[in-house]
Amino acid sequence: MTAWQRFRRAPGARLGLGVMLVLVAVGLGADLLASDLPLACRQRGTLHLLPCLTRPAALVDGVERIDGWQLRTPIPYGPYEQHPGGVTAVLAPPSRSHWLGTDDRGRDVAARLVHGTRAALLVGPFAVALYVLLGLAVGVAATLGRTADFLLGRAVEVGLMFPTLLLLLAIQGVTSSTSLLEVALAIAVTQWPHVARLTRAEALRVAASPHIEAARAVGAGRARILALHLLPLAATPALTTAAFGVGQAVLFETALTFLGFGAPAPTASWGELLAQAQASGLQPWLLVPPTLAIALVVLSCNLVGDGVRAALSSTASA
Amino acid sequence: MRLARRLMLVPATLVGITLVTFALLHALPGDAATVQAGTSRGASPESIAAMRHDYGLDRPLLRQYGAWLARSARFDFGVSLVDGEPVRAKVARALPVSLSLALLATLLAFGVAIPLGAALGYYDRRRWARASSAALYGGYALPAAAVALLVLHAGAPWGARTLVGMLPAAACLALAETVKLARYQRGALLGELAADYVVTARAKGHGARGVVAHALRNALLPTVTLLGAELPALLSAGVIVEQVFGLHGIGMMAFDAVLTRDVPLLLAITTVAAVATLAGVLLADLAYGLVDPRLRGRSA
Amino acid sequence: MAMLARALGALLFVAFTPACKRVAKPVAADGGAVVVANVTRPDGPTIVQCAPTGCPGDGAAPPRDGGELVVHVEAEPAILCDLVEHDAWSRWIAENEIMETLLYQDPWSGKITPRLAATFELTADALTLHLRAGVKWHDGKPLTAADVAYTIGRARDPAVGADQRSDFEPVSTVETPDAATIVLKLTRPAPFLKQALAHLSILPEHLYQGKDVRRADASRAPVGTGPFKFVSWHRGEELIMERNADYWGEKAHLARVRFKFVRDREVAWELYHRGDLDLLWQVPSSHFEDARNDPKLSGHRLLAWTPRAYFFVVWNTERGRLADRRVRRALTMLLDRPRFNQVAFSGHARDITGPYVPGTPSYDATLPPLPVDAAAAKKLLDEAGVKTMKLTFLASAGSRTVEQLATLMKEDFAKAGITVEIATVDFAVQLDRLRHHAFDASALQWTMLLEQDNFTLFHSSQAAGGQNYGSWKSPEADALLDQIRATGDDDARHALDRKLHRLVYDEQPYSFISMREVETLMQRRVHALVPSQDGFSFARAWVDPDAAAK
Repeated sequence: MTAWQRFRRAPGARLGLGVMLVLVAVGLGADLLASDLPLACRQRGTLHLLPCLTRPAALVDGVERIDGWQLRTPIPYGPYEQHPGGVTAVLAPPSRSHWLGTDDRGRDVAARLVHGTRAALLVGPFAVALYVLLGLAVGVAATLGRTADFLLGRAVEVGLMFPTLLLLLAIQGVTSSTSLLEVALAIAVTQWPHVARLTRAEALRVAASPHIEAARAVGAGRARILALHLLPLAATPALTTAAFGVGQAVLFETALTFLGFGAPAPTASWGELLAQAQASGLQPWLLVPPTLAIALVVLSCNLVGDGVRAALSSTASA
Repeated sequence: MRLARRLMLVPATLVGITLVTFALLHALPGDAATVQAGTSRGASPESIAAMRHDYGLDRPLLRQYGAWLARSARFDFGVSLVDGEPVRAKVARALPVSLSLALLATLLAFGVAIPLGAALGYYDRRRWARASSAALYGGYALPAAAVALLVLHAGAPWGARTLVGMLPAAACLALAETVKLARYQRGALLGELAADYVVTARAKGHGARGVVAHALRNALLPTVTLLGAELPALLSAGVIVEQVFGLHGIGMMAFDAVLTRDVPLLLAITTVAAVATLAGVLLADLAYGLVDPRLRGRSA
Repeated sequence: MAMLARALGALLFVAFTPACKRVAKPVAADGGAVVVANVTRPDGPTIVQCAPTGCPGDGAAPPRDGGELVVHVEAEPAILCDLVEHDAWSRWIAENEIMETLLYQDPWSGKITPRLAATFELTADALTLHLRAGVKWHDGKPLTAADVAYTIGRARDPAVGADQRSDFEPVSTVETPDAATIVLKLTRPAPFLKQALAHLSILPEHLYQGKDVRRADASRAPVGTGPFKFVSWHRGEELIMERNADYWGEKAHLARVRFKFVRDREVAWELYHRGDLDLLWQVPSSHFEDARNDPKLSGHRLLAWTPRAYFFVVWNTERGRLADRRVRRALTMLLDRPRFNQVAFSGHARDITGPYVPGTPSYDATLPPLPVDAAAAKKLLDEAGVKTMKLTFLASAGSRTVEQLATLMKEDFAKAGITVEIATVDFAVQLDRLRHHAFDASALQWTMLLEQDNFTLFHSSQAAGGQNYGSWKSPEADALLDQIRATGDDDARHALDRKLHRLVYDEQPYSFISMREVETLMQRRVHALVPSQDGFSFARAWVDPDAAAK
């Protein structure tokens, strides 16, 4: 059985992968789904194809100028557009013109939700990949010997105690920029020790197990044992972490936004929508959609994580 | 023996973490004098310089840190730069609040997550287990502040200092952790149940109960690892929950100390949090030994 | 949100004075009657729209003594010593409730009357004050001229950095010929001196002598002469003061006032509904509508008033194109201020065009707000030769209002080809960058005094390390500001103020946005509580012990 077959047989793994791909597609194609400019239109005799992506200067000043026909995006608002048609509708509940209502600046929530997928994809997978890799490396390296274990153990301890906010401010201060990248870095720097601890514990346990001893007896090299036998087994808890990591990163960004240190305005992010919900009396149209979106991400990552674990565990025991 | 050696290393780790904190705090633009002068009409370069001198912020950095280290070695953490109150008194007031909150949250999280995760893992083939496992993510995705506001709106006590009064706050703090831990527990148990020895044991016709008990014990390991690390994390992660429930704890104090650049206060909090982390890590390492005797010699 | 409270608190850099001495019928500064809409409805609270010149009393039954008032405080002050703590709440809590000033300034009319000083004479070369006899500190020691001399000495000390320091510059020496007389010798006219004395709480020398004002115990547990005595302060939770039975003047009605620190406005809103708070100092703007129409709040009083604070954008005139006044005017005209008021304050805001309190003689009411006019702005930019421009807007983290302003500005400016990048930093970083002019644009809020001296904001000498963050250097403004400080005659000085107002309006070193209106909500049992920039009149307020909290 190949790894892919085992993955497919894991319950829900394919569903999870599907959802994940859809989210990636939404993130990549956000401008095709929600934009203040149409998918195609004719203006003063010129045909514009996909102006929502190219943003030609002739159209950027507003759709009012389009005199010919036009084909709008499913959500006919951009994430930053505040008063389409000059009408101010601040914190308006869902209606026909705004499916998910508007936020405190009169922006369309549906458009911000769609475009917020990008921020989630940027903060989540990026930060998580960074810290899981680092944590895995450190955790597995701890099995190399007593000295390595001792030194890495201290590094992990210091890492665990890091004050996250201070770190974030320091990163922002050093780079003198406050984008999602700094948020992702701060998450990565404070989270890797957790992965390292989990991996180390698991790796030590696996290293003492009969089948590694068997591999050693057969004369397999150190690196080979580490990469082929130890890593796949020791990675199980780290994978669960990673599966939650994306959601956790988005929630972390929410907390930072709530405290005032999230992505700078006017970046569209789920965290920003949630922070708005908290600051404006928990309006359901601001609270529910991003919560469901985050739940969907966490769910799909976990299902995929289960699948990957199924694929890996059978590799090791085969 | 080993324990003694680990304890001897504690001061070195504390110096490491406080030095890093100190350096980061000074790498940031603005200091306590800038913040306090604020946008005051009367603040002048002279008054800011005078404040800086009073606070000792004009001395070379290494000397500042050295002086702090020498004093704190005698358990004198100095006075807050913001209001002149002894730091020890401040921390002593906030620590019990945060510790009880963190302990309650940890107990809640582990108390619920371990049986829940084990059940979801054991009954993984059942439909209800799958469904509830998926439903858990909804709980995970709710941001703490929103949950806290909802719970408060439902009538939870505000500013309560009793353990019972803190339960709603602790539950909000524990929510995400519970879901995560339950998933760990479930994942670990599934991994164990698929392992060779369980399969072999089952094939040999050993009773399900004994095998599962054995698998469960092995599966507890990663979860127990978390115990040590989550406690201090909860200690400082409580900023939002503390704020909503009116509990003035370490989390909020650390947050304010960073924003007001209150060096002595933040260093003291870092030290306390570090001691809590080290204690947690140590406890978790000792717990490994109990869960998996093979590791007794390796708790480094 | 925590930071918002903190930052706004700190931004209200002068938040002076006392509660109204008596709940008199407010009189507009121009002498006209105050128009007050007092609407009682069965389906919501009584809405009291305060005029710019004052809020009316509630005209209720005769006051009753006793009872406790629970007050919502959003930003907890670090210490209670207004020489060094510039937070508005430290003044609202302590000034003229626990601590007292020599003189008293009416928060609406600006009229100055005696308080700790029983009488005072101002001549060309001296201000002489005679202390009231028999005033005792809360610890029983008598108040003497030495206390006053000590306090003024601290206020004049450059190392302390008190708000009033520059107002004391004309003072050459402080003499105390006897235990009840203080003579301030003057070298030149001192137009702001009386007002400064009306906002300087006198400190007990015997508790401060030889100590740093910031670290003295008395700054955390103040001992004053006022109608309330400090009882206790549990940080992060509450501060309690109680009635001073030995007060020299008209004694307070309330037995206790308990200030509860609640940073999150949504939480405070919830606690008010539970009846845990008697006074919600500010209804969150997301609940403006709910507050007005909630039948559960019927009988409660909702006071809409405007603090003397304005919101503005400061332009760094050292940065390239921003040195050109046409560019700054164009930027103001591009910024859709009415829309911002709608978004950030639900429309509960007043226009302002210059750095003086509207309605006072210093304010030139003939100047209309610059229009929102993108076409005219583009023309001005063309004249200045600006095709495209990139600006970084320095925003303080945690302030929703600033974030909203930044977002709207980004969109408005984009229409004229100006790209705005928003950099969100914490307050300490923002202050540091403002002082070092390391920014293009930023937004702040200033609180004004009725007699506002704008020297520190706009004089070119204040660009180096002072409050002239935008580094605006205008010889004309310098001359006016110097002249204003040297003009003792009120009418002549006010004329100069109006000239400066016009100059600032023409030059636009700031884009003046608006003054926000605050809605203060109070329970049915609370009476005679009148908010103002200078305090909440706790000394005159009373509660009805028979009425339940809710």
